[in-house]
Amino acid sequence: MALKQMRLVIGGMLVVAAIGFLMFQGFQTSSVYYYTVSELEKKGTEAMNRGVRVTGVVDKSTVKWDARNLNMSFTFKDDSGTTLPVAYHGPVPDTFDNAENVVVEGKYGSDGVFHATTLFVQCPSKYEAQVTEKKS
Amino acid sequence: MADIGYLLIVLGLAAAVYSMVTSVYGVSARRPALVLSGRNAALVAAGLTVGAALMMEFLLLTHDFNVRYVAETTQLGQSLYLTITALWGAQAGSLLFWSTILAGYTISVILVTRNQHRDLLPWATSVLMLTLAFFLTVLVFLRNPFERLTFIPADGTGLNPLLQHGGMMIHPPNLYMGFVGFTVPFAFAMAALITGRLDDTWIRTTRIWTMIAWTFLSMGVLLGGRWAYDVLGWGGYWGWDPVENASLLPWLTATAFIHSVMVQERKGMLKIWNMILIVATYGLVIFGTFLTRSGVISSVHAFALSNLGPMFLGFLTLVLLMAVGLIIYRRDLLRSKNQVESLVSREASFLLNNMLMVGVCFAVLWGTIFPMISEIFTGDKITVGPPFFNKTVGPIFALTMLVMGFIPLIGWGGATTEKFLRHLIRPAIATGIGALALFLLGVHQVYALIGFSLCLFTGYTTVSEFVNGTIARRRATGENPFQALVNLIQRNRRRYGGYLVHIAVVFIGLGIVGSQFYKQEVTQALSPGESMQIGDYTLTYLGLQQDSDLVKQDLYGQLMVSQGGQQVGVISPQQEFFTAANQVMTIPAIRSTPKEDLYVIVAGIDTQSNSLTFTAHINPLVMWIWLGGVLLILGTIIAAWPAARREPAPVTEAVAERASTRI
Repeated sequence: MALKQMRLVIGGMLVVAAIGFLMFQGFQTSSVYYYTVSELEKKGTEAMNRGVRVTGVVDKSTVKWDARNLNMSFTFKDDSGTTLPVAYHGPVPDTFDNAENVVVEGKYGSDGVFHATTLFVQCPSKYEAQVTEKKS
Repeated sequence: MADIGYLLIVLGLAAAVYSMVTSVYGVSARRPALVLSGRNAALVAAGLTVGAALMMEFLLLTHDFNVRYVAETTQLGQSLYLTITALWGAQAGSLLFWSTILAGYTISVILVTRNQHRDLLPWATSVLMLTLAFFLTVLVFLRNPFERLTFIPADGTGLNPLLQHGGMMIHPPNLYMGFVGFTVPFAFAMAALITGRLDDTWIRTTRIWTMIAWTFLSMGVLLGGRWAYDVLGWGGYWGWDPVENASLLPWLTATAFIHSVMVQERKGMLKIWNMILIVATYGLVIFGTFLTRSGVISSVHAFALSNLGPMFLGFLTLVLLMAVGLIIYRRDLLRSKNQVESLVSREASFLLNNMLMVGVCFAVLWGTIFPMISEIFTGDKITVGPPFFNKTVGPIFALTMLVMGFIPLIGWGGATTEKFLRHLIRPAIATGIGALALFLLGVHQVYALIGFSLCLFTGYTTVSEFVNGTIARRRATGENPFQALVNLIQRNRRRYGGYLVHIAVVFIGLGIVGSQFYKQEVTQALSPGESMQIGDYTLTYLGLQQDSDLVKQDLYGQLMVSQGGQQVGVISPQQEFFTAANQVMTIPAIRSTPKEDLYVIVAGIDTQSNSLTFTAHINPLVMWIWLGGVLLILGTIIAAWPAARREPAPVTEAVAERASTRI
């Protein structure tokens, strides 16, 4: 192989290595574990000092919304009956009220409350409403 | 009527399958009559599909609520444009829309190329028909858009409020036109592999289709960002959501493709690579359609319901195996005649650009599907958010910008490093001065300064191409400067159109760097008469206004905006309440200037204290992203416009060319 070709190959390998390094670095600093409520419960204190993302179903009767200061609190529950209190500050997505699954990202505090810094709603297939029969 | 619609897609499927089989058999057995029959059947299949879409529009417009799809996406009082666009407002309809656009491309391709490429066209037709048949199969067997309800509801539920926006008219059609359009170059690539005609015929034949698809996809991606910005209310235009990523992935490989095919046309190199890129693009289009349909990414647990997933993955696997198999089978014919001679050459820089684009694509794909992979292999689901994408993709895009800046300084075939460095002096000095000026103006964040400097550098070298070319042409022909510029572009549309797109990317880069590094956000509760500060703006809450129509109720929080003590106008962020869907929509008020956007939402309504809580953002330079979008279309149209005649290179142009390339 000619010298020029060698240089090209080495250059290419450097680029690939750099991209790999960036991905590794980005991954190290910003990956978070994604748990359901009961999985988080099982991990317990192990999950407390790191960034975690939790998905759950909001118990609608527990939702408290302070519209003036944008503070929200509610309780997640799941099928097994596990519950998790969540505290969040910030604007709430419009689809929150109709959402089935809500995802929060933040830290699980030693007070047993999940302090969320991000709250989002995931229902991608829900661009469709269901028609139900209403007899009038 | 709904049953006729269903019949149309069933017949369409039959015609597509017939066309596929007949084309393949006809061309293999050298029976021109069968080939002709296959081509006609393709036109029939496409026509039937378009007919089905028209039938769906008829049902939507006549509010035939007995049809489930109509009842779930429209309602009485819904505006005309939303009723029309409801065709792509939900799953079944959007798959029909996908098929319809493919049908449109099929008809255009067959009509445009019917008398050429007698060997390639039957194969390409059968690949187009394979894709159409797949989508029609999904419609016929899994998601019948014409399904009837057992009763007739008095009214429908209406389109999802998030979709009730002007963006609905332009964003999805653009994206679909882009997505589906890449089926055409893919089909011709497969035809080239099958027939073994691996010169650049397939690339030249499909160049126009690739450019059309690329332009629409670029617009689709940008319009998606604009729509999110205008509607979602969080102050940003890109959130690295899996669905957004799905639209970006094929754009990246397609961008690499339109660059590297130039290397093949000029130098006969990178043949395998081009095949891989177009196969990847097509694969990512199908994958993206699958991602957005199945919901598999956002929540692995909740979407076991969707039976579309296995169908799409099965089809994707089949097509990829077929394509990769063909590439391996033809590997000898795909060998390059030439090699890259110099590191300082266009070929090498295009190669680097390719690696970077594919690198970004890989990183984004990895970040998007990692939660699934990690769950399969470790049992723990690990996910990455926007920081991962920003940290990984940001530097790679920065490097891409730099490479783009080098392009005008490097010619085909290569130059000595010495020469290259000599041409680098002026842009480097200009960039240095610009960076210093920015620093003195208060840009102190290192990454922002690097980002802006790269934009400056690329902007400088690219604009210089136009300036030097115009000057040289003026000297040679005596035309006035404007005439000289127009003729310069006119004589070499592909090249200068491409450079215009590069300038557009510089605009977009400026907007992204500005808005990523210098955004501000303030949240405050205000009673009427009170004000809040953000940057040099003062926002005074004047009072609440209300409004309502059949579909929704609107609340406006009116704000007087003052800038540096001067009143500049009233803005009204809104909350809309959609009665049927029982959903709130937060609509931001945006005051846009070239320097920055003031972006305000109503984040909370406190009825007890009669106050509204506003969140205000300042997003610097965002307007440049949209301006870049407009320039990008213009540049692509110039570059893609078919040449009216074979262009001879007159002496003057050769002079201008040499003067502007300088190498």
